[in-house]
Amino acid sequence: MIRVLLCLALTTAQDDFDLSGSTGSGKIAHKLFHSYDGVNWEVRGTIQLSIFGDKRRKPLISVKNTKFEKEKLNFKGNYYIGVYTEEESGFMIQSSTETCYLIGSDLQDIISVLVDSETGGITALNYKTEGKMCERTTTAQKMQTMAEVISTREALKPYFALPKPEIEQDNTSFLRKYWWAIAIGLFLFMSSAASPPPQQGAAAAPQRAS
Amino acid sequence: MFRFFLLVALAASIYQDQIGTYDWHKVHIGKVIEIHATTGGKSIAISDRGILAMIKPSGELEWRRVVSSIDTYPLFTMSLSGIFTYSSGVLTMWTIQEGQIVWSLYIPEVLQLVLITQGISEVLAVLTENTIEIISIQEGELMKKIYLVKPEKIVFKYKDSIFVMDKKKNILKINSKNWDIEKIDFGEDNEVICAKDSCVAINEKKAKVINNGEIKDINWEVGKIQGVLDKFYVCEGENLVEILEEEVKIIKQIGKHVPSENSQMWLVESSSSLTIYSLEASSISLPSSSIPVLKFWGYTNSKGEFLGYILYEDYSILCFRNTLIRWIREEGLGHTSSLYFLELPSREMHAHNQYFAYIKDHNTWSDVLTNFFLRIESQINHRNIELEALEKDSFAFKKLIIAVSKSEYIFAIQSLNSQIFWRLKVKNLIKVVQLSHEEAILIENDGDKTKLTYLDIILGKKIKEQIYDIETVDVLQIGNEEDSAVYLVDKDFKLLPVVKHSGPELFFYIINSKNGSIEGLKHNNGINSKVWAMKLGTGEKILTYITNKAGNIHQPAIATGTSRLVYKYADENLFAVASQKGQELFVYVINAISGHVIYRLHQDQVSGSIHLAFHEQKLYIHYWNIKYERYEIISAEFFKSNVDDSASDVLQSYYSGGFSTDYSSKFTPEVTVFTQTYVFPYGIKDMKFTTTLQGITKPSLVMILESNQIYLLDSAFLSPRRKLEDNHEEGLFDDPTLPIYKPNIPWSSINIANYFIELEGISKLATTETWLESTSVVIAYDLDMFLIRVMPEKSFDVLSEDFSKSAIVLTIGGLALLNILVQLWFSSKCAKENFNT
Repeated sequence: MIRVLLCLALTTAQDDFDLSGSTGSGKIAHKLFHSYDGVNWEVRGTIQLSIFGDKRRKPLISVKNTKFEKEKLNFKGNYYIGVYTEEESGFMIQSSTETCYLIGSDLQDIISVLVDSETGGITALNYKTEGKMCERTTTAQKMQTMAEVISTREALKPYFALPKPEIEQDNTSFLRKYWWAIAIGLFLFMSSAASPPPQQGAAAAPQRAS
Repeated sequence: MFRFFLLVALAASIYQDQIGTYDWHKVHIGKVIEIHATTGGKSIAISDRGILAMIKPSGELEWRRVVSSIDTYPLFTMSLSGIFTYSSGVLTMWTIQEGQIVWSLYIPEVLQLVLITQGISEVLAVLTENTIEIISIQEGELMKKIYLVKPEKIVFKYKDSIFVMDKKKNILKINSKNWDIEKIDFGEDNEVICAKDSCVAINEKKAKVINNGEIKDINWEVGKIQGVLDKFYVCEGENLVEILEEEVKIIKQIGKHVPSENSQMWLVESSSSLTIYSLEASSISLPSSSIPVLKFWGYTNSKGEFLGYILYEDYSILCFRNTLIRWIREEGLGHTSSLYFLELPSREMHAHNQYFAYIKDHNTWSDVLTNFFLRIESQINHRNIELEALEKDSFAFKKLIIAVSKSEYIFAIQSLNSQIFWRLKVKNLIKVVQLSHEEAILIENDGDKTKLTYLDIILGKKIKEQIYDIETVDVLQIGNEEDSAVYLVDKDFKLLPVVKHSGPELFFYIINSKNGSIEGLKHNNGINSKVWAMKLGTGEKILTYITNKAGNIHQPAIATGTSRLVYKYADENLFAVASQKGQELFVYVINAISGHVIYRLHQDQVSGSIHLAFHEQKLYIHYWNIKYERYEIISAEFFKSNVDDSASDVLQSYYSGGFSTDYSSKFTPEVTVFTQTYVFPYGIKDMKFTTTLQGITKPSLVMILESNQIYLLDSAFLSPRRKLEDNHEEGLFDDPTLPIYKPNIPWSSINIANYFIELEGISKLATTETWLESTSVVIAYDLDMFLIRVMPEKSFDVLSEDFSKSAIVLTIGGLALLNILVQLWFSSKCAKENFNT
């Protein structure tokens, strides 16, 4: 019976995953733009996303930097990166960091992207630096970029633990359960009552003669 | 000894018997659309919020009924036999005395309800889009249904006939005995105006009239009709005109007036009084109010006494009998759309402000000298400052609540006694910002211009006004009491500082629900620059958002039962946005400074309204689960991923990079997120966390249930770190003090904050802190207004009734004495030892 209940519970749990609308896997390339002042934008490289048909699988990401001019960095301002939602038009998804932290990290940056699992489009960019040091100079010449995809967490479903099998209650009466203890007790009481009472003289016997 | 005095600190506390005695409930019905006097000095009123009520002679409600649902406009008529209402497809008859339903029936799209007589009995005529239905008032049965072509309204009834006007301005005369219909071509292209028992269609100097059931053409030389007063017409020059057999006659000139809705009476407003006239030439005067009159209902009895009701522009309604005011109901508060808590000044603050306000205008030498003597005199005589009603109390329970009504008035209510101290007409109010303990700014926008009114909050008087030629869409307020800033945000999201701030940079974000974009901007030296931008996935529609109301974080780390320290990620710059795509719900947690998406949560099979609450590291999402047909709450908590296992870990992390409790919004730490879903038995209208001054007290979640109850939920029940029953693995963030996970949140009627009080139409919550750390003030508003003090962790700073003051004095005294004795003994011992050596 418990096995049947367990199977039912598992079937219900599987129902919670929406497997409909799964699309085929594919690769999508997004042009990665950057700006040294937040106004003038130019192509920095490409973000390549590998999307899987199973929505639950996290897309793979790689970033290729093709253009970066270290001398254009303004250590007092911000350094920006961006991706257009449509081909070089429309809305630009962008993120930035203070340039001095990028220099302080020896040009090691991290790009995290949030991906629309339906279209493979990028919906948000988290731009971070490897370190938290604010510096004016660095000997590094090229960007070293790490890339990752931000996961979307599925909300947990209320977990209903299976009811524990009820332990059969011991309905045996007190007398039936402890008859032996009562019997021993009664026997001891009866035997002590049956023995002759000690004489008065005997009671005085332990006293020492003076 | 001095050390003991150093330990003495002031503690705020109240006695147990003071708990729960300061809650108040304001019962409202909303803006009255019709009111009738009934027997025993009682009145029957119906409001535009769909509330029917009987008002006692004292002004309190005898009973109150929601006709169908809140904010559905009702139709209403009544006679001695009962009250008839129509709302949301349901026609209902109610008893007058008890407000009980006699019968109700379903009729789609009713235009008008009129009681008519048929022979000796009374029946109800119900006008619909294409019929007039006659319904018996005893059983609510359909007696007759007459089909009409596009009727507009029943204009009047005369003897056995009902006169109905159609959309082409024709009059249909329906005989109520045999139900014959006679069509009268009437209005044609002219405007038709109807009085109690006649209609007029004027064409220059001629007019077509229906009077006494007959149609005729007459000369009309009394000018345009400006209004109607019972069976009379008010024409140009405020002349009262009566239609006679073949002519019209000017009865008298009545001047600028408000006509009675139900009788031949009118009201004239002047600066000093309100005068009510009846056609019999008698009149009474009532004291004037500065607020204009909207409507007026008047009656006279056989003794010639006046009785009536006056509805003012702020939706307050007054009942009078002759020159005596019987009651006033503040129904403007029954339309409260938002409210603000303002801090009141203490007696000392007020005196200080008064003094500096005085010397600002009186700065000659003689004034200074006079002022100096006045100060000395005040020190000797200790003159009382007349500010008791609006003076901060010891625990800051007393606040000024600014309630913003849809009547375009704001009301200043003292939070202890619920008394209204002043009211002001404010159109298109965007925000109220408190500048100091006695001054606030009201920010209004009328489209092209923004008006700032600097206001004395004690007196409700305007100090000064400033007008800016910008269209303000929002107001940003940052900083603290000492260094605050107020910026106006125009439609292009440019910021205009109206109160300066010493900080160099300001970060803000814009949520565009039309295209699903969210942008973060930095404002520096008058220039906005975009720092980050994101756009939600295709088809996602932004539903709601919430900022993290972290406030004072007293406990940035939590010591778990396994002697570990886990650190909350409680950045005040976090905000959450909920979006929906079909039945999928997405919740994004974003850092407003860096634009980093900290977390994205997805839940399927969701519908209904989504409610969010965000406090410190806790985020709760309430929604309806379609699949399981139940309400659920997703609970998410954010922690920094690093955990300190021992004191050496804490010290090590401090020396390597500061305390783990410190964080900067520029950098996102590695975050560990816990989520769990709970089943909540009820739908809600709003939910908020309680707030306290120091943040020591753990906050409770306050909810308005759909049943208009206020429910307090201990957030420990919603912790996502509650372990599953069959999970015996030990985790870094485990807290053994949390109960084992149970999906159903336990329901307890003890947690209903409004106890036995029946609330109606509440939909919004506001909370504020007091100086008593255990206590938070919660107010629920919209139609009713209910204020309560909440103690989420019980009254830990409340003195019990048997608290022994003498015992604590004796204990401290004893300790002090012991300290002196020990010091003496120790010094003599040292002296002896020194002597011996």
